[in-house]
Amino acid sequence: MKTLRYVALFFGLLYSVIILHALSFESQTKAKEIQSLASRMKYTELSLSFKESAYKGFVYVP
Amino acid sequence: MFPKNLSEYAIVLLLKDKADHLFSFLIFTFIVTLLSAVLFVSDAIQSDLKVATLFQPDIVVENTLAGRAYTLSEEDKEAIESLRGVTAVEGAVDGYYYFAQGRVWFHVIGDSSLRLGAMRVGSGVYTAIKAWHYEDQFNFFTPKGKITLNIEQIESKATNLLCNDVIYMHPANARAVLDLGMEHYSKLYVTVPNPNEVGELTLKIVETLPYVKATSKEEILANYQHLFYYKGGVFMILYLVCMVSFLILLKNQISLVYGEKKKEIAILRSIGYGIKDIIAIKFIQNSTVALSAFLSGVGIAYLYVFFFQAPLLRSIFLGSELEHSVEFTPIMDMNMLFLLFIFSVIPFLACVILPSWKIAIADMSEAVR
Repeated sequence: MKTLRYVALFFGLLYSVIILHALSFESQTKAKEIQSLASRMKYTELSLSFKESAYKGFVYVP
Repeated sequence: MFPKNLSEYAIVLLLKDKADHLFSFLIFTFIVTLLSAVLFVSDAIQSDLKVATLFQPDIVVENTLAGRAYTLSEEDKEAIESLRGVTAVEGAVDGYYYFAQGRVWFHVIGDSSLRLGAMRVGSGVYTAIKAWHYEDQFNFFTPKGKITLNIEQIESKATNLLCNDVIYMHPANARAVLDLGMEHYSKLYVTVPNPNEVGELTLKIVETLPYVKATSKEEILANYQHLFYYKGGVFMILYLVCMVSFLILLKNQISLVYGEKKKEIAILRSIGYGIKDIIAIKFIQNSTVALSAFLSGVGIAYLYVFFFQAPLLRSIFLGSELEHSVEFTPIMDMNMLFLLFIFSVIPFLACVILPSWKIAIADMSEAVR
């Protein structure tokens, strides 16, 4: 039973850290920043460096 | 739930055979970590994209020529404006500029809130140009000559998912950099106040201008939902790795019941343990391993994605051409995690409990022999 208690304690601590991290993350501030950017960008896309594979092929032609 | 003695005995047996159980624990943790990490990254990206769709135009119109993106003219804009139900059509200037020294493409977007000669850059762009000693200014080389713009601001890290490769500048500057005429647009953003008319107007635009591609807001949002094609490429390999690891895990689980363990069950039965007790012992042992592995897997995936921002995996999702220093928003899809729990823990337990039960109900003299 002692082993089980130690295991439970370990996971209790690990998940406390995770919950604390998740709660302390400033998601509201981030959402506001994204919204202010989106208001200027209007059509938002994920920033992937290359939009189409055709571009990539062109770039790396030796 | 279970008698204390039985639980203690099950744990003692678990620690006695720790090598076998450690193998199961490690494989199980690996599978859960890999799947959870993919899930966390994808959920974090999708949640940020959802926030960004607030100002999304109702319909986006693009043009193609010979399969490549092409410009739209003032006439196209007027033709869409004349459709009943459309209240406004905004012409956008955006395109790609090839930075030859760094061998990367930058996404140039016209932003009328910026003054002429100034630009705002994403942090990936800034890192790429800084390597070539562009600190306050940047030179764009176009067929018509050199255009120099001042770097006014670097976009914050929080918005990197959307603007890592982007350069914002005044539309007039963007036109000059992209060599776009004053009457040409890269995209048209159409405003339709009645949401019930969006679908119909999308079709009407394509009917009026058969060469364009019109995408409704609904379709854009649906594309965000299916952003990462899980059946293709690297994701397929990841899932195959998980699948093979899971089969190895299940095989290991079944072998835990046969051989020496078969004798152990037979001895327990002969000294008076009931079938229920044997199943309880196996259940306690394996659910301890499964739960610990599952919780460790999810915990490690969380730390990997949200503390260390998913090195390596991030490149699979976002590409590696530009340095991507993103900050993932900690989001967990509990439904998917629950599904993962059900589809991993139940087969794991079943692969031990069912054979144990089969041995426990068989003839003991046969098993001991």
